[in-house]
Amino acid sequence: MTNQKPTLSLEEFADLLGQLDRFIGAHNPELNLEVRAIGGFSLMYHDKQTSLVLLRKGSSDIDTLTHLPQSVATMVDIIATNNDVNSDWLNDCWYANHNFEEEFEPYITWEPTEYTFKHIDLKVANPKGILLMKLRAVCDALEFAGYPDNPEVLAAELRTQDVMDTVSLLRFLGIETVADLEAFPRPVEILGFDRFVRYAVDQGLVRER
Amino acid sequence: MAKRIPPHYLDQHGWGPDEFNSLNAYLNRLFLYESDPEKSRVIAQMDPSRMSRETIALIGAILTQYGKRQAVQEKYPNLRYAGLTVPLEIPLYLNEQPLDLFPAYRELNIHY
Repeated sequence: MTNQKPTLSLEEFADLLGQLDRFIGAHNPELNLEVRAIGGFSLMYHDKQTSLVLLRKGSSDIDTLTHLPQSVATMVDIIATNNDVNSDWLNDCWYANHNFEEEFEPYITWEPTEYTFKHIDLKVANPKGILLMKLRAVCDALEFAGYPDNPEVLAAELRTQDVMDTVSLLRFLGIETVADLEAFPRPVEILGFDRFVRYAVDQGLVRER
Repeated sequence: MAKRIPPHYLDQHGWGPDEFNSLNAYLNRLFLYESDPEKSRVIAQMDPSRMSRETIALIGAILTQYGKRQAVQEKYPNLRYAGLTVPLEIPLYLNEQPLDLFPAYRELNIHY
C-alpha cells in the first residue's frame, strides 16, 4: 500500500527544488536561478492559495519562462534520476521553443510563493497572465481546425488540459458571459479569439448574455 | 523522496475523482508527447494486465480524443489487445461536477 499520487504535489516539487538549490550551492554558488513558473505548477499553487478550483488536477513538471543554463539542466537530470521522476520535472521548453517569453512576459505579473531558497528565486505567473497564454493555446487550435468545422482536426489539436485550465481560470476571474470574455484585456493579438467565443458559448462555458 | 511506482500501476483502492483526474493528467502528457524517447520507453514497457480497467479506459479516451489510437497501437504492440475501446461499466468521475466536453471520454463512460 502506498499513498503516492499519480502526479507530484506542490510539496514534492518544492522538495526537488530544494535539492536543486543545494546542488547549486555546492557547485555554482554564485548562480541565482530565476524560476518563473507558468502552466500546471502555477495553477496548482493558485488552487492551493486562492479560491481557484483547478479542474485538471496535478502537473508532471514545472514549466519555467526562463532559460535554464546547461549546468542547471545537468543537475535537473541527476535529481530526476535520484528521485525516480521525469527528467523534465523542471524545463524551459516554453522559453526555448515557443517564444512565449518574448510575447507574454510584459503582460505577466510574477507572484512570490511560500517556497524560498538560497539560490533559486521561484515565482508563479498571475492568473490573468496564465489565462492569456492558455487562450493563445486554445485559440491556435480552434483557428487551425477552422472551428466549428473539422471536429476531428480540432480534437487532435486541442489539448484537453488547456481547455480545462481555461475553464478554471474563466470561473476564477468571474468571466461568465460573452461580454465578460470580450472585455478580458488582450494586449497581444490572439488569432482565433472569435472562434473561441463561439466555442465557449457552444460548450456552455459562458452565457450569451 | 521514496522510490516511485509508475502511476499506471498504483493501487487505486480508495481513490476518488481527484486521484483519477491526476492520473489522467499524467497519462495525457505521457501519450501526447509519446515520441519523446523517455516517454516512448515507458509506454513500450506498459503491461496492461497490471492495470485497472479505469486506467486502460483513460488511455483509450486520451488516444481516441487526440485521434492517435490506431497509430499508437501499431507502434506499441503491448497495447494492441488492451481493450482501449471498451466502455466502463461503472461511470468514472474525474470531477465531482464534470463538464463532459470531450466525446471520447463520454463514450467510455468517463466524466471529466
